[in-house]
Amino acid sequence: MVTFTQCEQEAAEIVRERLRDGELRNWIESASSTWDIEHAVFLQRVKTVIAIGLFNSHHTAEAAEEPVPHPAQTALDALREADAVGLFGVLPADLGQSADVVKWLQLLSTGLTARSAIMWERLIQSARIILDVQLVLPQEGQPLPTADDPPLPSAG
Amino acid sequence: MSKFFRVGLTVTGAMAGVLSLGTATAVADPAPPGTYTVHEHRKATVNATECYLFANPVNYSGSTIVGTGGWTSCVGSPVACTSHVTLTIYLTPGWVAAGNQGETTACPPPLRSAPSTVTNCKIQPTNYSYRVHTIGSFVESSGGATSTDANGTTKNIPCL
Repeated sequence: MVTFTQCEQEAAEIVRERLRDGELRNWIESASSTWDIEHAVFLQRVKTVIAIGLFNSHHTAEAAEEPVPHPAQTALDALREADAVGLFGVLPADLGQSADVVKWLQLLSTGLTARSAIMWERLIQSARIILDVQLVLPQEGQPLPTADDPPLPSAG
Repeated sequence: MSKFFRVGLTVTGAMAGVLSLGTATAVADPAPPGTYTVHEHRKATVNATECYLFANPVNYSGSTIVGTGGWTSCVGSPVACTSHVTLTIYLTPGWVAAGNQGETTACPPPLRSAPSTVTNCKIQPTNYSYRVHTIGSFVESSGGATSTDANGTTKNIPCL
């Protein structure tokens, strides 16, 4: 059984490895600056979100009695597809020293206030960006990557 | 009649069934699921006085997103009018305030408009849906009061 502390160590290793990519490092630094959040604190919170994703992927694999071939990819899938209730629901009671941070993140994820909903979205989106090795980051000043008008659903 | 006087266009999302089953994801997909209503202009009436509240489409440039709304015009003479304008973002499971709150405290004419702005957003690889939500109320000369709200059209923007 994988512990949450092991997932945190795994998350720290993934983040350390991924931030060797200068473009990604610059994106995360400028994002925390744009959002006026201290970079080190922001990165620490993002690592915890990634650890939550990793724990979810390990938990799913253990339930299916199958190994996790690509932990980062399965954590990304979990952070993309699972709702917040499910993400936090599988966490163990013993979260070690991260218990308070995880509790704070869980509160954010409920979207209790507009501010907390946006902060949670920024954290989880940054975690997805770090985990997604295929992603091409958008550049400031470049043309928008997609059309800006929404495809309105059909009536009925 | 101007195209902006489109009142009460109801749009039902293809994902409405999914939403009703309570399986909404934590991901902010561009097009918000479910049923939502666009009131670019919306009429509020009390006794013989009627006023039109508006919520404009969202403007986006660089790292700034701006939405405006307020009171357009009245038939009759209201004695007091207020409106509150908020730029909102769709984050599952709903719309939350993203911009500061704009406010108008005078009656039309002329048109009364206030902005709500997000000044620091970061370009993202995925789109987020933004729209303007305006709430307005007015009092007419015999003391009758009413209020209404209007939602502008949704704009998908790759900025958070």
